[in-house]
Amino acid sequence: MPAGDVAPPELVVADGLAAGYDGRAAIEGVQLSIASGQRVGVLGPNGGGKTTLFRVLTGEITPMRGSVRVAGRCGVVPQTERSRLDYPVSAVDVALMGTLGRLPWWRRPGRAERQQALEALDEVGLAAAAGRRFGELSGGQRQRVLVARALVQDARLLLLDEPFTGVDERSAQRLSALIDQLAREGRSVMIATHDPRQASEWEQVLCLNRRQVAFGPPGPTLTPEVLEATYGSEMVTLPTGGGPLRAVMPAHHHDHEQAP
Amino acid sequence: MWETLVDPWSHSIMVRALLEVALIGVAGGALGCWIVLYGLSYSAESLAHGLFPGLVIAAIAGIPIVVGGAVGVIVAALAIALVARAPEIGSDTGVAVVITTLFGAGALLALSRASPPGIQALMFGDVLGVTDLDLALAGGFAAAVLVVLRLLHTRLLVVGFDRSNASLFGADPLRADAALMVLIAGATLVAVQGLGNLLVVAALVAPAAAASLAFRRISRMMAAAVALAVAGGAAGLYLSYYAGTAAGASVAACLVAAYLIALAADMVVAPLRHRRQASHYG
Repeated sequence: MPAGDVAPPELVVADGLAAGYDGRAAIEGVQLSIASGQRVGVLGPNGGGKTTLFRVLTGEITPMRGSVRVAGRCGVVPQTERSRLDYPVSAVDVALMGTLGRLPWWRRPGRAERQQALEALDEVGLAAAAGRRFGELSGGQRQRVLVARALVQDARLLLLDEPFTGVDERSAQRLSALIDQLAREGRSVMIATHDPRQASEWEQVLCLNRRQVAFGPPGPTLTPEVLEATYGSEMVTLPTGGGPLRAVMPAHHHDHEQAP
Repeated sequence: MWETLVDPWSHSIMVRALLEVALIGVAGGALGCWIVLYGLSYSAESLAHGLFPGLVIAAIAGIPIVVGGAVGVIVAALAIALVARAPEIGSDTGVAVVITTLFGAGALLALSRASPPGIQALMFGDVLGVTDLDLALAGGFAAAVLVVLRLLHTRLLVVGFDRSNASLFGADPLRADAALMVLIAGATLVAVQGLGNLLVVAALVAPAAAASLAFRRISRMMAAAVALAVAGGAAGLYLSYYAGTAAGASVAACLVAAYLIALAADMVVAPLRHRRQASHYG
């Protein structure tokens, strides 16, 4: 977070927010404020309301109660298992999809848009892979292409849906560095994750379990009680050299709550 | 050799047939790529068969079959929408029931004594008997397909890539589907004269399916599908000319044969390609 006398402007403010499907709340009591340049770890079990919260932030669903305000464009970085890997598009084609929203309906992305897509790929460290087929890239590279697509959209808030799932150690480090870089540029990044230790490296942490369990800086927020209330029975204790370490078993990490 | 190649085109009837299959090939090849990528092959076939009674009734009543087909499409679409609402049967089953019923009704009418002679052209086409109007329709439609697909290209690409998140990027999946279904219905109507109701699906699906095996970029895939569709059409006309086989069926057979050849080639080449990739990235 940039230091200074002036508090950084708030990018996301939610007040008493509840949202869900068919009149049933999947998430309630969301009370948070995220400044630009902040990285927010979003913790919670499957079905805990992470996806629902993200869909409120993108405007896909409207709140049932309370209010939410996002000052700036919101970009989504979905899990790549959901996109078809045999699909005939290159990395730059995928990044170009981010230009569609602001082009008039009759216009196809032109040279200027293509240049912008290439710059975004360069920013995520994939300039050399621009012409490679999306499905041929590694899981971590695909995540970074989707980040580039959000950059092309000029997203101020990026929502990453479990970006580290199924990504090897080296790719995870590059992805983590990219998240830091996005925050330095003044973008806010919300990262759904199952790893409280990783979340503790970021400015804020949001714990969800069908309601907001806690929100705040990880130090004071991530207490054993909060983790217990967030994960319930999914908690396990791992014996380690330096004393017991509490960890979370993401038993069914791909079972998100689904919209009807 | 040269004479063998040129001889068929000394007959104006064959030149017109070639023009017709080429125009159908351009529209069908380009549109077919989206049909294959969207997994709409079954829907395309259903639509083609569902409008059959409309064609037959139009032929019996003596009104233009394009009009009858258009009405038939709307009836088929409404019937499918209605059946799809019944929760106790799966949508696949519902579509199958509706389409079989409609096609059966069409066949019943076509085989009745009221039907004029030559009605089997509706099923198998009469590419050697295309009129100026047919050619004009096919030309206009091919141009329209290319224009619409170009305008919608990025939207279609976004929806096909990740349907659940497409709306976040300004592409509406329902509209993309609807646009494709309208184009498929149009293609079926326009191509029925040349290839007939039963064979038109070959022109829509086979070239694109073959191209999808060989090409990994949408633009190249479309160009290859169009080229394959036109070449397959010409090959079918040669076959028909020299073997004396039915023209529409020969064209369909050549298009499907091209797909089978591509499939066989892919089965040979794909393992090699994977091995090369594995050594390259491993």
